[in-house]
Amino acid sequence: MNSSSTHSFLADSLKRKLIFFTGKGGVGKTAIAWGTALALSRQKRKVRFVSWNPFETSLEPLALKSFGIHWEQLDAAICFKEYALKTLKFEKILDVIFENKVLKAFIEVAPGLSETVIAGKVWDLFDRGQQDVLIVDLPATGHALSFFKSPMGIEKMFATGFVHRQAGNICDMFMDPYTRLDLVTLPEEMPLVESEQFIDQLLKLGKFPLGFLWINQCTPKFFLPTHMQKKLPPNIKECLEDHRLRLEREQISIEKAKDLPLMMKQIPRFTTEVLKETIELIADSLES
Amino acid sequence: MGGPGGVGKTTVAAALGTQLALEGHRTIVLTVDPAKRLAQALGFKTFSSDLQNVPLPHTQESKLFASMLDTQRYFDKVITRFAGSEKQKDKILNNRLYRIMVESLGGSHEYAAMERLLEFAKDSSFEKIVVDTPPSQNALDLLDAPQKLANFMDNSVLRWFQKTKTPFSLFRHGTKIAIKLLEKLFGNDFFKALAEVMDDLEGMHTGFRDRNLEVIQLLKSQATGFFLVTYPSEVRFTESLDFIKALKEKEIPLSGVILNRIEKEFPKEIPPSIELPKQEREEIEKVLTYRSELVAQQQYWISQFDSNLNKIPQIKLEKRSGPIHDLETLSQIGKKLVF
Repeated sequence: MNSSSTHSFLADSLKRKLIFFTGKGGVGKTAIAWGTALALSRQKRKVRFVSWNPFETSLEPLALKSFGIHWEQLDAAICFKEYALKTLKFEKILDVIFENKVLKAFIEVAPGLSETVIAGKVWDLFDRGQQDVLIVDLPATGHALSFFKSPMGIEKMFATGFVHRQAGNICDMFMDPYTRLDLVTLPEEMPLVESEQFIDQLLKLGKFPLGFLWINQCTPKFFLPTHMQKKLPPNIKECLEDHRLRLEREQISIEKAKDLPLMMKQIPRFTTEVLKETIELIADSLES
Repeated sequence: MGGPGGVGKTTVAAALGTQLALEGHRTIVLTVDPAKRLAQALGFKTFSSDLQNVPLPHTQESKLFASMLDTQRYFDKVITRFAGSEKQKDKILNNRLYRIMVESLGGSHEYAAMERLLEFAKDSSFEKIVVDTPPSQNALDLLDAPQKLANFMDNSVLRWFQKTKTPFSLFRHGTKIAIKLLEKLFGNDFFKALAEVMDDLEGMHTGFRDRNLEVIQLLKSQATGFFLVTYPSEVRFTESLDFIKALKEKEIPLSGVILNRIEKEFPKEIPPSIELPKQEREEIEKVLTYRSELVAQQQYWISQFDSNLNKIPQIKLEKRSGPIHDLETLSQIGKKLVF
């Protein structure tokens, strides 16, 4: 485990061209990804944010507007069509094809195709380089693993053809020195064990450029004077004891994660639940 | 148990299973989650087999079982069941494309999971099955899986892939172009392999279809209850409403909503009558303020749930700061769920 400071976080992020975010569902992955985007945008970096996360769409456009960050939501069917159009110049008959029942069924059911098509779109944006940094908000760890695995599987599966070559490009992009893969988790046992498993599985696939392990929603540490507590009413004592227990449990989980090959970054739990404000608070904490 | 990730769904599923078993029902907790969270929740490191008996304190013969899905094995098992002959089975299982599809690509978990669920549902030795589904977007994939596979297995679609048997000229214009596009994208080699798999799967599709219709029937039946496990926050609230809507569209009835990890309320300040040095009072009150902010934040979203879920039963579970991996604690939580 490398020690990390705000300085090294910003210094590292400023030199990256592509940052992937993933993590178990509900750990605040989207908020951390947006917080990073906002912090970098405040550093005058031209940021482009893409998400592939069908269930978290409703809140993002609101945050996006006031942040002035270019954002888009990726959709496998649209990306596939776009890709075919550009690569194969099938323009005239495209609609006939894409309305074809057979092709629709194929795209829907072929395992790994959606993931590869999305990865292909990310590669295209990365390759065109119209931004300083591209931030990709991936779905929860299980699906993110498929995202990294699929192009590798496809490269093996198809011996020839556009897709084979494209898959090779995508794999190169994953391992690019300017790419970084961050993992967001919580200071709790289960999410941290899951992060560990994810990293294990990922490193079996290849030498991915792992960056930061974000421990989100850490309980704030307060100074608790123990010797005065006997004077307090039982329910306040209970509250302090509960808080102490919470911190202790978190600390045990965090200690265990210190051996992981990522830089650790702890983000406190903010008591605002409005996503936009949380993102701003995260970005503030990354700058100060 | 369905719902968004990170709300303690696995723990709730484990708790319900534990309590049902303690009440004397032969119960199985089935996880469809590739992450090994159920094993953690029940207090063991790994599942040694796909069906594991979980020892319960003060009972000689535990009625609690747990199972984690092994995608590879169950997909193979499905093929084995529907293959007409031993030769056909071996041919499919040794096909390069099939192997890669199952081993290295995403998306096949869901199909295999549904197959496994049906297997347990038909096994009369189990009285209760608790299913812990992956986070919401995956859970919806899971519910879609039988239908998707049934569509794919649809005769006309299958026939299209069996290029080796169908003269090219018989295809409709759109389909011809679609084939050309796919060949250009994926290469001829792939297409041959795919046609081979599809050829081999011929004759099995009726089996697949029937099986998938059974799953859909099971999900909609009176014997099945669908619980949404969620948490009172803005993100979780929005996700939950989307989820409820999606269930409704699929005509799967929602039996209840479990609001998990509710913060306990404590005093907001120290009574003025208690004498404390100023600095210490302030330090302690910082904790009280933080905790009451957490409570207030949750209360708002609890009221949002209340006003949006009018007729759907709700169960509220308190957040626990201590460890919950012992069966005693799981049973305590479980008691609130069994009523």
